[in-house]
Amino acid sequence: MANEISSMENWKKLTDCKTIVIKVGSSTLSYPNGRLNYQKLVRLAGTLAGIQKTGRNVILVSSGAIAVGAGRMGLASRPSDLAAKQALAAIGQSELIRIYRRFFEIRNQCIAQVLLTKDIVVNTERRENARNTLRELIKMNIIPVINENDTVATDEIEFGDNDTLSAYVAELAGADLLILMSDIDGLYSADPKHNPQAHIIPVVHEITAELEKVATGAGSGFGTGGMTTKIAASRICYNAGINVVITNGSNPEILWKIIAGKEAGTLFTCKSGSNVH
Amino acid sequence: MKNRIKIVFKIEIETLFDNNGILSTRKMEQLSMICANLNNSGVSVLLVSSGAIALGAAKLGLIRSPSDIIAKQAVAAVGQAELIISYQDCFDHFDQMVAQVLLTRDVIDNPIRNRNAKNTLSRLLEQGIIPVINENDSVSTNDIIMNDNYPLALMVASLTDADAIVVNTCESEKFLLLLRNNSGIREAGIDELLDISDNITGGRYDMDQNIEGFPEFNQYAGLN
Repeated sequence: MANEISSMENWKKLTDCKTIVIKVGSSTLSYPNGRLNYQKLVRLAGTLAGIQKTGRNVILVSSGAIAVGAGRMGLASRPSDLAAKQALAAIGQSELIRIYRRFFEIRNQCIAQVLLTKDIVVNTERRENARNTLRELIKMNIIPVINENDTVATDEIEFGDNDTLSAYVAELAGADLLILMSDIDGLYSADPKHNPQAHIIPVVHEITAELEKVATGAGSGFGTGGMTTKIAASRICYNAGINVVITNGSNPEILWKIIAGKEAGTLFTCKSGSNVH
Repeated sequence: MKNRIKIVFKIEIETLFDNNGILSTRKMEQLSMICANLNNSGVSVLLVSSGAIALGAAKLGLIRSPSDIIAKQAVAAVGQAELIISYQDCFDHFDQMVAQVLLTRDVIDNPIRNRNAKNTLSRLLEQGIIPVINENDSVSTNDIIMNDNYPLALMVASLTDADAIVVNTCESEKFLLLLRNNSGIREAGIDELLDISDNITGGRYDMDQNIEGFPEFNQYAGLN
């Protein structure tokens, strides 16, 4: 009981968050056949524009370029070779940003496109530039829409996926909350397929080896849908003083619930007192 | 496929403005039509276009472009989206697909980046897609400082082994032609431009074996 109360308290604190990075994956934005779900994008853009109007700063990290590119080219499936993927990403990113721009414009919200590569982590000049750009956009009340710059990325999984990218973005932007919208409800205590006792862990204070084992579901096959990279993202954020929420992205409006301080998935609290912003 | 002539268009966005300093859809469409036409005729076309800061400032209702570099980068992030969307809208009229490629200078020195950029560009060209290229201003500041995208056009020409760089001018019917292995700069109208493939393969332009590639920026600035 005491635990339940304290976990509620942790979620409640999220109402104070000022700068929020929201990461959505292709699976949240598209149908299983890979084609875009426009209605989902409309709802996402509407929700984000609405949150921005509450005085908070929203940053969107969105995948989907390759999926959109494949759709435009009329391909039935994603190609596997790198050059083809990069070409599709170049086609799809411009289309994706056109769609976002349209949907945000309906809500009178200005957006910007920022494409990043992994060297923002190691290259001081790039890092400084990216930080400046992001913070300036925030000041200007513009929502940055970020993706990996796939066309020059040194390999297709420079960031693994946008989970890690979004953690670095949160750090650079001085965010206090990262929300990873996923196709799962949160981090489970065990494999729900095999264990009827399995439940969503509402709050994680420390990423232990044991937890990591549960999350990556060694041998169990569940949670392999990117939970490893979500844990990695949480670890980066923990040290940077940023809370992380893993939540189900099938209803974009769930973001309202989170900023209202209500439990909606798994919350990774950050190192207390380490908030450097 | 190997023998397709490749040309890089170097576009300064100001050449596509109307008298009021606003992007002219008519001019951009005219340019898009010429590029799509060339592409249809079997020439591979790449576009290197500036305009992120100018279009960002316009979008945000700024009277003039910001002067400090950080504000420029932020405005460029807004404007790059506007730029690629404008091109896409124009090229859509001619059923021509485009792709956005944002490069940084390290594609020259970093061998993996270099290979990836080359692969991406050649794959796009093989599929008849026109890459619309700019510098990734959010993470680098070369072009913001240089204020001219000829070096970027030169870099793209070298990455793709292009045969010519075409510079558009404020007069919509007049282009400047820089040919590989030719030290001069040539004026060309639309008809000559559309015949560029025949003119190059037919040996109608003077090529000098003693000249390597295209003029460097300083030479170009002197010629122009």
